[in-house]
Amino acid sequence: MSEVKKEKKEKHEKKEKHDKAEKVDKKEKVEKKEKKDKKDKVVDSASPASPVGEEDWDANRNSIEAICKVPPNNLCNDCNQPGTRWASVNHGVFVCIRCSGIHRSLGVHISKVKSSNMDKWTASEIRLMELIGNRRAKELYEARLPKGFKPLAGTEAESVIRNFIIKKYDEKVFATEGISDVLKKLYKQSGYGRKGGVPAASPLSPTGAKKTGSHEDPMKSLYGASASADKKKKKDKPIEGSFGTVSVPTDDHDTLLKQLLEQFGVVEATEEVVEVAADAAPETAPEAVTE
Amino acid sequence: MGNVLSWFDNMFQKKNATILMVGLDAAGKTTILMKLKLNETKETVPTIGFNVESVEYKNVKFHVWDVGGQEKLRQLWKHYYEGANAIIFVIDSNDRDRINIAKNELDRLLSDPMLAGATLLVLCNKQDLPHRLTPHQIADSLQLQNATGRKWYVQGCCAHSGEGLFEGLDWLCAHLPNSS
Repeated sequence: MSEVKKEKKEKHEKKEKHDKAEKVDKKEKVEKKEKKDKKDKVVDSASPASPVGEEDWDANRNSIEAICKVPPNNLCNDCNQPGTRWASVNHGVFVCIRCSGIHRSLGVHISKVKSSNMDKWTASEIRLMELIGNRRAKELYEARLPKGFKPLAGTEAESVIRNFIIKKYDEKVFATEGISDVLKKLYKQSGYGRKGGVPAASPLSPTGAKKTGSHEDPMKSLYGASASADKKKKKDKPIEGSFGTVSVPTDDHDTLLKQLLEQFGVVEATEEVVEVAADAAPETAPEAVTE
Repeated sequence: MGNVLSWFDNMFQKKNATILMVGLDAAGKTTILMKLKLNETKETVPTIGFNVESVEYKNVKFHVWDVGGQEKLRQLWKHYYEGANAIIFVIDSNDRDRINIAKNELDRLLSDPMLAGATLLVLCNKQDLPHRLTPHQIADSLQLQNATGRKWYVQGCCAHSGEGLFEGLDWLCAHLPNSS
C-alpha cells in the first residue's frame, strides 16, 4: 500500500517538474523570439532560401502556426474536426491529433507527421504546406470520391477513419489522375527534398543526395575526372594519390618518393616509377627520369 | 548463513527497476508500452507529456516511463534521468532519413552523467515494414561500439505483433545494474 502511495507521489513530483520545465522553456522562447524578430527582417530579405543549418526555427514555427489557423486548414483534412496542430508534411495537409496518430501508424514511407508547435520546420516544408494546404489537398486527394460520399464528421468509429485515410493517401483511390507527377512538381517548386516511398540513394545520410552535386566538382578539380567516376571504386582506391607523395613540397618530393619505394622494395624498377610519378606530379617527373 | 539467506532473498524477492523509454517521435514507444502492459495493439495518438506503467516480468517490476519524442519534448527528457536504471531507446527502423537525428539524441542521452550507470536497450521497431534497416545496420549507424563501459543491446522488434519485445526484456532482466 505504502509503495503505491510512494509511486503516486513520485509521479506527481515528476509531473510538476515537467510542467515547470515547460514554463521555463516557454519563457526562454519568448525572450529569444524578441531578440530574433529583429534579426529576421534582415535575414529574410537577404536570403530567402537559407541553408538548413542556419534556419530561424522560432520564426518558422510562428509562420507554420499561422498557416494552420487559416481556413480551411483549421479543420482536419480527414475527419473535419477543428484543431489542427498536426500535419502530414509529404501530403501537405493539416490534420487533428487523432488522425495524425493514424497517419503515423502507416509509417514514414507513406506519411511524415509533424507537430506545428513541437517540431522543427524547414523553410521548404513550410513552402510546401503553403502550396498544398487543405484546400488544394481536397482537389488532389478527393477528386474521385464516390457520388453521395458523406464527408466524415469525426464521430465515426476509429476503423472507419483509418480505412478512409489508407484509401486516400496510401492507395490513392480517390486521388486525381497523375497525382504523383503533381506532387513531384510541388516538391520541386517548394524545394522539399525527401520523397516518400522512394528509398534514398544513400540511406544512412539524409542529406547525402543533396550534397553530391556540390561535392563532386571540387573532387574533380582536385583529383581529376577519374576520381568521381564510381563511388564504389573510390572506396577501394585511396584518394590520397600515388604513394602518398602528392601534397609534399616539390624539393622533398624525390627523396620522399625514393624512401617510400625502397620500403616497398621497388627501387630497381625505375621505369614504372616514372610513370607513377608523372601521373601524380608532372613537374617533378623529368628529374625522376634523369635519376 | 547470512549469505545463503540473502541469496534466497534475491531469488524470490521482486526487483524494482525504473526504465526510461525514449526515442524520436513516431518510433512506437507508446505502442510498445501498451503491448507490454495490456498485450493489446491500440491506435495511439502522439504523446504530449508522458505515460507511465508498471510491467511485471520474470520477478522484476519495471516502472516504464514513456516520454514524448517531438523535437520540443526532447528537451524535457533530462527531467526523467534521475533514478533510471535502464534506458530503452526506440528507433523507427523504417525511417532511414532520421537515423542520424536518432543517433545525435542517443549520444546526448549517453553523455549525461546521471545516466552513466544505466543499461541501454535499443529496440529497432517496425521491423515488419518494407524499407527497414536491420538491427545490425542500426547498431552500425549508431556507432554503439564507441559506448565503452556500458552494457548495451540492440534488439529488432515489431510492436504490433509483439515480436522481439520480450527478448529485449529478457536481456534487460539479466543486465540491470546491481544497485536496483
